[in-house]
Amino acid sequence: MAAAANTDRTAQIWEILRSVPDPEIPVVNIVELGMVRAVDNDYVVLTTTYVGCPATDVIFSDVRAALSENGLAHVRIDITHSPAWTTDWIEDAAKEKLLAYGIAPPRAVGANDARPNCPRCGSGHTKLVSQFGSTPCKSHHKCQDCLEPFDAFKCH
Amino acid sequence: MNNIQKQYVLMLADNALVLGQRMGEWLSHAPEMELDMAAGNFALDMIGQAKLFYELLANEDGEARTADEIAMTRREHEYVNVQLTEQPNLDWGHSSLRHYFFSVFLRLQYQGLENFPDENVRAIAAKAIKEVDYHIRFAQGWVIRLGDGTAESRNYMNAALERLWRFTGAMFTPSSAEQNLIEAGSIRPLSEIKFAWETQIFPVLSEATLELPEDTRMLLGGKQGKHTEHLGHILAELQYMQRSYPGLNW
Repeated sequence: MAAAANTDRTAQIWEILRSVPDPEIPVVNIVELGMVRAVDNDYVVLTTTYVGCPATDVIFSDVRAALSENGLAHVRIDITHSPAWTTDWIEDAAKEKLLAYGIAPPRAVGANDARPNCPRCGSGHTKLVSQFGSTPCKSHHKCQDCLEPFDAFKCH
Repeated sequence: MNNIQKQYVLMLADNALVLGQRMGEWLSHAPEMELDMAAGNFALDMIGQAKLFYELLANEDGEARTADEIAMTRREHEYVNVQLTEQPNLDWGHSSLRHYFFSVFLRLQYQGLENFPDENVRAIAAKAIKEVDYHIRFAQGWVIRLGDGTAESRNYMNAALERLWRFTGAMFTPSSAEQNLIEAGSIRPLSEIKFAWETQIFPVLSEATLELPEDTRMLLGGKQGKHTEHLGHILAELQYMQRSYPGLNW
């Protein structure tokens, strides 16, 4: 019985974490970004994307708030740095959401990410404007065909 | 961690903090919007690394001092960053070259921590390497573009090289803590790192059409707490809030 209750609790926590959006890119949640590394009935393990990402503290307090709202204030939040977060952990569904949101999703790590396809018209005829975009995880590009400026998730 | 390992981690933290603070000074002053964002990202990454190392040290000492206290309430001679990181920004080419020299070194230094006894240090380094890769790519691009650019930009780069080269030798001159860790096999020998560093940067300087100054006397001492006059000014700004409002939190 206890084991079944634990499984239910763990599933509930996963569900709650899926309700926590990324503060900078609210169209995706922290689970589909690959930031939740483990969940048990009394703890969750999170990882950060970039070590200095200013969104990190917000994400931690959002997780704490979401758990508390669901009567799970006792759940411990741990942080891990190893293995290092990679964009390969972003779920396919989240990549689709990023694209619809206007951000070119990351290609597989190791792929050439200098010329992502334009999220607006799909053209591969794009140019890098700046290796550093509006957040640490993105670079800035411009479509040479439809002229749309856009951010792309860096392969990381 | 033992004291020697902690001293070494403090050096990693101080290097990252001071260079991060320097890069942050470019915010709203960089020559172009994109460079402003790049400098801001560099600063975020470096200060992020510093923060994790300081937190680790605070944790090791049972939180007798907070990470902020370690980072921002020591005196100048207690900082063990290399002098290269504290050199003033001057111009974009100078900053790019400083960042390029240090980032290539930093990647090698972090890669050389695979056998470091503390797993948290290894984890932070492994994570940071990915970020440092971007820094190298970006800074290297500017070194080449400005070196092999106009006569004007080339003059600036040669002046930057002349000013900065003398600070590079300290990166490869082990402190007593480093010497201990090298002998224990915990970190990669600095002589190997130096060789790898030169192998990477010489072709880039050559592509940038820059020539190394001859007979440079290397300036050492940062790792022993001896600094150029610039660190004090950085600390005055960096420490202002913690000094005025001890224990201040966001």
